[in-house]
Amino acid sequence: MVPTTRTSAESTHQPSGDDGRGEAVLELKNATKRFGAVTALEDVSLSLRAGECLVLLGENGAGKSTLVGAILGRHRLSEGELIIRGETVEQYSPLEARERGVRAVTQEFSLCENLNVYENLFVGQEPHRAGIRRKRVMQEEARQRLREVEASFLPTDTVSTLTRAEQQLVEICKAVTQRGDPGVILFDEPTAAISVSEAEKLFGIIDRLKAAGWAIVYISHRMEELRRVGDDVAVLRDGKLIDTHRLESVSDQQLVNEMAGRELDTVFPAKAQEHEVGDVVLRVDGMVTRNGKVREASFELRKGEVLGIGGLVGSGKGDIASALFGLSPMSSGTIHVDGKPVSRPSTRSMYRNGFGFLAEDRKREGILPETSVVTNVLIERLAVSNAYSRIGFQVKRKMRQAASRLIEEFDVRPPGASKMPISQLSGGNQQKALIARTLAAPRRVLVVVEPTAGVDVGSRMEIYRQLRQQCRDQGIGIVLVSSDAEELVGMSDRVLVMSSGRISASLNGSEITPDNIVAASFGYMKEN
Amino acid sequence: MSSETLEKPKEIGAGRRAVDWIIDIFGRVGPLPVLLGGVFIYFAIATPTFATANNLTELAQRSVFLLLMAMGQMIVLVSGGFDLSVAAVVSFVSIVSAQVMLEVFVGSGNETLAILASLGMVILVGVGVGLVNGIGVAILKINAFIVTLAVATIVGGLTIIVSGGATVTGLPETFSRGLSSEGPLGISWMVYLTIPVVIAVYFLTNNSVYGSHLYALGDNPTAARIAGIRVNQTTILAYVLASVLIAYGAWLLTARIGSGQPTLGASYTMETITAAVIGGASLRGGRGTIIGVVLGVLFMQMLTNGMNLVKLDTNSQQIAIGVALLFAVLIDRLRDRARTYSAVRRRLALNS
Repeated sequence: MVPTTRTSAESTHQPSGDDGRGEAVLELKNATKRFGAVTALEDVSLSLRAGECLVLLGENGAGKSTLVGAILGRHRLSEGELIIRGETVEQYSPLEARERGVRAVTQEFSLCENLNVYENLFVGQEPHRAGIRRKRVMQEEARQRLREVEASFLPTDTVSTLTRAEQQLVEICKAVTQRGDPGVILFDEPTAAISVSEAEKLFGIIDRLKAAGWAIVYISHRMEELRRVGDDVAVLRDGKLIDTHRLESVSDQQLVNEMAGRELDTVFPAKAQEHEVGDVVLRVDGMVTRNGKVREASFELRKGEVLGIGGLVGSGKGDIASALFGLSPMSSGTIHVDGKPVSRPSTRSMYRNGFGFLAEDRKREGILPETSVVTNVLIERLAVSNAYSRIGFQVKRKMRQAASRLIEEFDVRPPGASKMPISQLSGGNQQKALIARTLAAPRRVLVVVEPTAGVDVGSRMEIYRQLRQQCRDQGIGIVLVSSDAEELVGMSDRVLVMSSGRISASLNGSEITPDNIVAASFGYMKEN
Repeated sequence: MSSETLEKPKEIGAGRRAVDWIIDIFGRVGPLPVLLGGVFIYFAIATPTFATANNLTELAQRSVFLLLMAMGQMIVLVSGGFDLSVAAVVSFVSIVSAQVMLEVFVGSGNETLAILASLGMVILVGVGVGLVNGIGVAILKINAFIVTLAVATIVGGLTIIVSGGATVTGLPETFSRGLSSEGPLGISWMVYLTIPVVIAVYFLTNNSVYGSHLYALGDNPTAARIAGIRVNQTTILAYVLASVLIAYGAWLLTARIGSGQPTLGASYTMETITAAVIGGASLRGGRGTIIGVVLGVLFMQMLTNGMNLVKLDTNSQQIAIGVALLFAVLIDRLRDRARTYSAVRRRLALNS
């Protein structure tokens, strides 16, 4: 697999030491990373050994990406040491990482789509003579590299014409075959967008990389493939390294427990009593979205209940919400509201049907940053109703009154800020204002996606209390889409867990535990 | 005593409070009123003729064309777009409106009918060009820069074909003389024909439901769509409104010139953008006010007029306008910081 056979390199990377394990290529000692007041990584010590594959396991937000960033030189450690081949590296940067042989194949490819394959392999380091690129040399070398990964395309093919899996091969060739000794190569969910047979081929390549002395870091959410490629596994949770195991000597159940294990505190209000839950208000049958993110989802929502939808990022949980509002078109499936079919859902038609929607990404999909808090709270009402207008003109007095009431009710601070651009409020207060928007009119159904992402604990409690109160007092049905297992457990009367576009579990009552949610989101269920 | 003061490091004095107040006001109204006042006072002192009633009414009349067109440009800028077809529309409207007017006048001999027919044609042209621009941007999803540039080129070609490169003369006196003659208070009729439009556009942007959609669209198009705003419809209407305003301005300009000119208004595309931006509109969308545009246009015209009176040559004038533009944008950024500063201060005050 390594392009130029170098006997000297091979000898230095042979397994050494008494335990027969490879030497550490890269080590982290007591690594801590803080972003402002947030500690994203706390006292993590790891070593990556030549010829071995370390799997990183953890929920979203457990600190995996920060750890990856530290290894790739994107984040500077706040505390701790980074040691490469026994040498402590002080000035670590992405460039330094590359030069020391630390490479990555991430989900975001670094390819220039409009260039062809061999040009991509040599981007920035083209062999040249007197400033003229030596195309023939590049093509010849590229052909050889592609042969090593058994690629079925040509060095002269344009990258944009290749499939995702083929592009990934180009990316791997680019990462692995740049000059130097075998170093560290990191795979971030490499199988997320490729087929099973393509994945099998990828695992073969990883095996060969290991044999050649590379240290591999592998991130994935799919248990079975972790066991296929991994040697060691490190479990992260809340920025801490919980434990490291040899993969052969640890059970799936134990790993799941370690990922999820935490206790619930008292931030959540009481759940719905059985008699408070009413008729079915929303029914979804056989939902499939055109973008392939939701492959099959059917569920019912009743009045007065909170239906949680969990799953990992990319499992399709957020796309269910988008599809309900026509933002992600459905290729098949039906939606019934109060027993009546909705033929072509759109934000406007669903708002008119008494739905409220809190989209996932506050900055991108939620706030109008330069616009006043008042208008931000009422914009949806202005767009779809005549409640705050007369013959096409805003009734500003009525708007101010309604907004003040909502701002007070949802405790958006500072209270005198209603005319200020909303971007001048803190994130938590922006979020509260957006929740106020979703409740600015009487609703029957509320769909909230990640309602407390990036929100401090105080605001979170407030949001939970408001949602539950709406549910109990007004009989609203709430769909709560969340990546936070704790939130789902604390808030939901029922939980659906998505995995790879399908509902992998439906949990009721005492079954709603972080363990079960995490297990189901990894596509793994206990045998009972 | 010592521990008390240590915990509250900033003892707020009267001077500090005055500075905060100035920052607050600056954040609210921006730099233009001060600049405008400064320029006015400077030229009033520097030249004997500047601050005379005659010169000021003349200034008002000269401002209306740019004002109408800059309001159109501002609407498009607020929507998050860009209109490069201003100058092309101006010359096209000048030719077409003059030809229609002449045609009807010669046919019927009725001046009023000819003028109204011409005005109808002007609005039709505005709606037509606006629809093409708007549909190109909203439905075909082509970059506004490209769409309006292409439309400018096409309309420019049409102007030459329709006019044969010739000026259209012999327009009815009511149009070519009457509109630019003095009305009540010694102010040109043109000003009276502009003020209601300014008021209408002010209410449209500031008070109408459409206005709220327009600003939301420019501010964050994704969020606007998710909030249930018909984004395409809002965009198209923005371009239509803009082109109608531009066409109307061009029509008044034609009246002022007294004939249809195939090369009229070549500098207006850039001038409208300059005026709107000096008036606080943002090229990234979502920001801009009619009051700002009025002040921006007045500032530019006052500067030009004053510089003419102090006999500054045209080239130096251009440099001055360019510097003013950069200056205005820089000061506007300071204004953003002032607003944030005031907001943070208010927040701190509320927390303590």
